[in-house]
Amino acid sequence: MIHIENVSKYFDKGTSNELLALDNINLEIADGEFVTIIGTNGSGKTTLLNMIAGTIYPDEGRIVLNNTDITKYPDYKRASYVSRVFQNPFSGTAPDMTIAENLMIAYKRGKIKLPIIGLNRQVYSFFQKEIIKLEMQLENRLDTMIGRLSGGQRQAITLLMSVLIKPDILLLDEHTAALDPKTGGQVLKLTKEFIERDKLTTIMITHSMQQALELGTKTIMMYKGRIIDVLHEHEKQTLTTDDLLDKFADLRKKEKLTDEILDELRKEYL
Amino acid sequence: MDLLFGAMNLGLICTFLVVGICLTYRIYDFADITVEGSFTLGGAVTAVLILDGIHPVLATFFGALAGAVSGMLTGLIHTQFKINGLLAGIIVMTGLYSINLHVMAKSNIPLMSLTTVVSILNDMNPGIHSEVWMFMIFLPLIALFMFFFALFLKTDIGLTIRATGNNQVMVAANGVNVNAMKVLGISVSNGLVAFSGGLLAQYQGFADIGMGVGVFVFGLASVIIGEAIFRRSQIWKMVLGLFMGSLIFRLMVALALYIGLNPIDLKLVTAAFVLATIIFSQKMRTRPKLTSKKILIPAVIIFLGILGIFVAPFIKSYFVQKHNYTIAVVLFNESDILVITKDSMIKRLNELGYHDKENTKVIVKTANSDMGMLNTIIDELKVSKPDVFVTISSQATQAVYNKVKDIPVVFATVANPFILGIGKSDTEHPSHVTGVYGSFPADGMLDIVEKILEGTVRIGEIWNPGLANTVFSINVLKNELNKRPNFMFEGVTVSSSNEVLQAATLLASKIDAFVLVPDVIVFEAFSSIASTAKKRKIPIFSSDIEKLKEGSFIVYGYTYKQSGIQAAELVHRVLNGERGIPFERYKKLILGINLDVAKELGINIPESVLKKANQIVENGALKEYDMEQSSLPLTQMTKMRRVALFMFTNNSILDTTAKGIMDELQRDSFDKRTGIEITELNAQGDNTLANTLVKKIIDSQYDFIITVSTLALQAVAHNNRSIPHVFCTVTDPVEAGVVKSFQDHPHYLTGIATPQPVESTIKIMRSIFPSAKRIGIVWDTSQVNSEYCTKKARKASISYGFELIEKTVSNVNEVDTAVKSLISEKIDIMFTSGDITVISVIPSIAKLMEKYKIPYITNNPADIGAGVFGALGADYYEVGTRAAGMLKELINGKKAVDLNIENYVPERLHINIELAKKFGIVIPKSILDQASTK
Repeated sequence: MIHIENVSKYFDKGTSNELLALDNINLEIADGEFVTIIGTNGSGKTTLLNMIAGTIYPDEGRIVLNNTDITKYPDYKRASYVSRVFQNPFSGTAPDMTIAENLMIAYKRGKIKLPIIGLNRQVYSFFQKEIIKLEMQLENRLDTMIGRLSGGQRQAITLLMSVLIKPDILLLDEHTAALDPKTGGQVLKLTKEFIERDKLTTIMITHSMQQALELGTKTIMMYKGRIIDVLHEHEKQTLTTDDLLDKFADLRKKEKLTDEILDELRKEYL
Repeated sequence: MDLLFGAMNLGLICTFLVVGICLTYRIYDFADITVEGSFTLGGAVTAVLILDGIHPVLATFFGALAGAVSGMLTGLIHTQFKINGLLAGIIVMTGLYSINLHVMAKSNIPLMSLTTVVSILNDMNPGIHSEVWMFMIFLPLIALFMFFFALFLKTDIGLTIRATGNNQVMVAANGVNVNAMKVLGISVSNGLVAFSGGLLAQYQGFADIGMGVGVFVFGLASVIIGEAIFRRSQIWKMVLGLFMGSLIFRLMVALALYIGLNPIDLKLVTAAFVLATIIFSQKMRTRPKLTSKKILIPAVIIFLGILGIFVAPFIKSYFVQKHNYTIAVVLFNESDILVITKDSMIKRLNELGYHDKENTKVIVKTANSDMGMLNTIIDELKVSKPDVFVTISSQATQAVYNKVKDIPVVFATVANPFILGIGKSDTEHPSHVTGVYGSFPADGMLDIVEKILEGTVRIGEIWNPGLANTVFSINVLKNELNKRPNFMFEGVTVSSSNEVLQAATLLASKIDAFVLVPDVIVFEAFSSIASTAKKRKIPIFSSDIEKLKEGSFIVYGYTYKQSGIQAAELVHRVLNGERGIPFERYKKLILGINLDVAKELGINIPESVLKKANQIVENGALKEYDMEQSSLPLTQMTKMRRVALFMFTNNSILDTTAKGIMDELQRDSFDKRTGIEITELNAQGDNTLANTLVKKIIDSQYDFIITVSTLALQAVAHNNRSIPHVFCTVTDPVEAGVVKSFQDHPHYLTGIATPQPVESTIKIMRSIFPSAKRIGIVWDTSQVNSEYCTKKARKASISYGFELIEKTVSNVNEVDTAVKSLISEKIDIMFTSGDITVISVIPSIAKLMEKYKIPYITNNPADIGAGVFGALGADYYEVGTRAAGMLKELINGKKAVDLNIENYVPERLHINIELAKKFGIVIPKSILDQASTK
């Protein structure tokens, strides 16, 4: 259960470039919910995700996870609750270390590291069992340097690492955007399987309206640092991508969106 | 054996250093300069604790701990204040210099007679060659350490450390506090480095303040060699690579020195090597398939290198002719006093019948203040099996004493052998060692001060606590002062020559006299003390006898020539088979009095002191009495007098002048007959370099200086206070601020002024170009000379009915734009006079002027060759010969004060007829007749 209460964030506050990246966001996500976020560039989706991960701190408001106020926790301290998969498939793994060693880092996520060899036979075979699920024939290549693998393989491993120990909340930041459609689909399929298996509370930013509608229990639309609409599961089933665009078109009247923005949305999501 | 195993032992000890540097540089991608300080810190802490009786193993451990703390500091500064890692390292390294001095309380701690890890191991030696034994012990120990280090990198925390260096975003996302990890890694790294430092101190037998200098790049070189052998693919290979890298690097250094690389070049070669390998390995990364070649090439080089070490002695002994005696001379660095000692020793050996390259082989090696190199040099010298080692300086003596047990050692220019741990008294010491020593004669010096100055005397002292010899002298002085209630002591410490002036100024208000103990750093800046003393009318009592003419009131001390002479005589006795020769003190003390300074200060010198003087300066002249320096007869050396020909830069005028000077000095073999040696020094247009060169001229006490150009004159005049100096190719020395008038000039300075004939030039312009109106000129406002010429040009332009269009520049890059803007302002004539900035680009201006058909007139006849239209100027070759003529008079004994400065302009007109034809200009016949070449 995560509460985001009245969270605002400015970038370059006090300068001529001041930007209100998040504008009084309120959001509540219950355990087991799978939320997708859509929005244009600069709408604040990644900022919101980073705020939850703890790489940036809000200027106002607070973030409460399972009744603990984690607003002031740095990212490494939140890592015991929160796990992440990045858009860049190279961000989530250490290239000069083996697959097993990378998995070991994830296996110890949020725990104290001691000068003992934790990567013993038992743990190693556990990793082997887990990596079979990726269906990428990596189970016998655990001692390969990650740097030698393809982007799709690395992203799949990052995903596996993020769920190796069940997180309280899983953050996915357009994690299939940088992959080719085939591997992207493969990683997305894995994502669904893992989320369903562990009933993970998930927030996923996506660049595809199709994905946003098909996946998840709730879809959030963001624009200029604000949540402009929340679609619940029952609404989503009846909606098409055109309906979503119409929603943005409706907003145009209300919010005085320009045609260029509408064009931008079309381009980005269709 | 010694060279090979000595190098490998150094390599083994440095493995920790290499691992430490690899940890930060490779794993964290962080160039941590702290290591240069923590290496010394490790040595310092270990040495001090051993001295205090702590078990050496424990002491080494604490040394490592201290290093870790210093690394932690760098880490905290880097992460908490977000300061660039390199800068953080530099800050801590700089601070550590002071800390290290405090820890050691002096600059050098000898460990030779104490129980160290190395001595414990040596005690267990069953009779094997000691370097080999050491290697046999070190190798498994360090291999074991490397094994555990590799294992550590595979533990949970080791994995985290590696991942932190590899991908910070990823580890942060996985709950790792990146900052804490960095601090931990840098601490561990510096701990290992300090451990290396602690071991090295024990291995070489002393800790020294300078032992960390350069270790970063040396360590890095080893890391890189290691990586060239094994790719970083697996931890085991990486660690093995580091281990091999450290060994191979040291072997390569030994090999390089062995095949005769000048130690001065070692750092340059290492730097080039590191750079080349980094570039090479970057290229390889993009083409990773060439791995087998990548391993093969360095492997072959290394194999040949090691082979070379074994084979070289045989080849060498085959080719090199056999000498009766081999004398190995080791100097710590090339500071004046050590070189003087060495030279006088070699000279004395010659007189005693040891002729280098005939019946004796004298091998001289200098370590350039580098401890590691010192050790390697000694190992290398041992290979040549010398009959005797001569060590000049405390550091060299200490290192040789520690390493050489079976070859006689003669030391010289050592303040006190006992604080180095060599023997207990002049007669109680190992029989293979002897030498000559002496420190500051505090008692004698204070006696003299007492006789001259009355009442309570407050004496001021400036010294660098980083020099072991100096600190010893200061202690001797303080002990002596304790016995004399009529003295009060004021002291200021400095860490570099730059601080001396400030220290002297600070002291001046509190003291009655400067009493200066031997200190190479302070004496480097002696002129600052002299100027302060002169201003405040404080007498200087100097222990450096070379400083009598430079403003000291009294000098009293040893001459390092004497050190060399006595050392040579000891070598003679040793080579004749004597052993157990008692240590000697310097036999000859010099007392010098500067009566000129005495007069200025208004101090009367008692007859009793005057009578004892060996040197007296009166009216600027030095008289020497009773200079026989040895009990054995000496042949008189004909003294070579040295002339410095100093130029600020190269251009046609200056080069022509210089040629005139050289030709004149060499005419009829004048130089050979009078025994002068001319050294040309050129600052290549660089102000800083000019200053350094001038300092060098003064420090190395050239007998005469001749300068070409105003800037050269100014640079020398600013620093020189006594060396006879002739200047030339100067427009106006009064304007340049070096003399008051042509008659009133410093007693050592004279020369000739050659003003550019600006007025005659403009007059000639009028006769050639009757209808021309506008003259363009570009000049550099920062040059006194140029300003002078421009002023004259303004005046002359008005008289002859021209308009002078001026464009000013501040450097050579702006000249082109200035000239082009003149062209756009439609000038009729372009003129360049005595402006060095513009002169340097005359050819390109000339080309431009030819294109626009504008006649270009200059004041240097040589410019005709560069394509100018006409030139009216002095013949600078003649200027050079005239100046050299003046110098000859000085060499023949005249005083500069008696030669007045003169104006000398041997005018020459040159016209470029071809250009005149091209431009369609008819030159009046009257002018053509004047022109000496057409």
